[in-house]
Amino acid sequence: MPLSALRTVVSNTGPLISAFQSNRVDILLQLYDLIVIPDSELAEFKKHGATKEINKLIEAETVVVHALTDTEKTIAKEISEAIASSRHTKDKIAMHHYPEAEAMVLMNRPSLSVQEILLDELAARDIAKQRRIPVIGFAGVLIRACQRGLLSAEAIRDSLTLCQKLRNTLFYQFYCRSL
Amino acid sequence: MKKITAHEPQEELLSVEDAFADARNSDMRWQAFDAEQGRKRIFIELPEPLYQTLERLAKQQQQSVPTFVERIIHNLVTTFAPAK
Repeated sequence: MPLSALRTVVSNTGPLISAFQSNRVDILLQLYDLIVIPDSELAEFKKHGATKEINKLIEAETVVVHALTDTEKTIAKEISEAIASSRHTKDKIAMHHYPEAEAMVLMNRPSLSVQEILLDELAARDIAKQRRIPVIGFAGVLIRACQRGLLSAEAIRDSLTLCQKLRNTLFYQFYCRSL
Repeated sequence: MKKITAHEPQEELLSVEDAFADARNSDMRWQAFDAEQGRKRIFIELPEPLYQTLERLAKQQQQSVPTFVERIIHNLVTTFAPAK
């Protein structure tokens, strides 16, 4: 199958961590054929204790790791600075946002034929939207799965609770009402 | 639950409206993608234990059942009706 025929996405660390935490990698595999990540994310998976899980997906060739060129790294640094200066983030250290910036740069590689980026943090999403990069968060992935009959609304609630995406009761209740 | 720590728990996350808008926009993108690729959807009912076996084999390869079945069908078609 040619690469352009695959349903390919780039993912930031967060949505994949959420999928691991909630045991919902199967949903990502139902919706996407190939998940691309930049190599700078590997250190983040290690930091969060998810090295075994990400390596399993890399071995199965479901996740493909790409390194950036020097030119791409320069663009990623600019993007990470823009994310750090966003009003939506408390973390003003640009290097802490570098992996998601690298993921955004990979979105612009025509050879990968990527359709969207999995991204949860508001600051990074804000910059992605300014750059007209199509974005979906992990909650959006679960809702899409529900609308396609792959998951029940209750399963979404359980998954979001497990991956700690709902730290606020009001948010939680709103979710339950909306589904 | 696995002992995996949350990613950037201090950061602001998207709203409920954003999550639903994400799902809606993404679905539109993938519908356009499928149309461009000329993909057609089929619905197949499989009796047990056939489905369970397929599910087990797909899991062994870290694939979903639909992707696994799609690859099997692709290989069958390539074998029995190779492109001229």
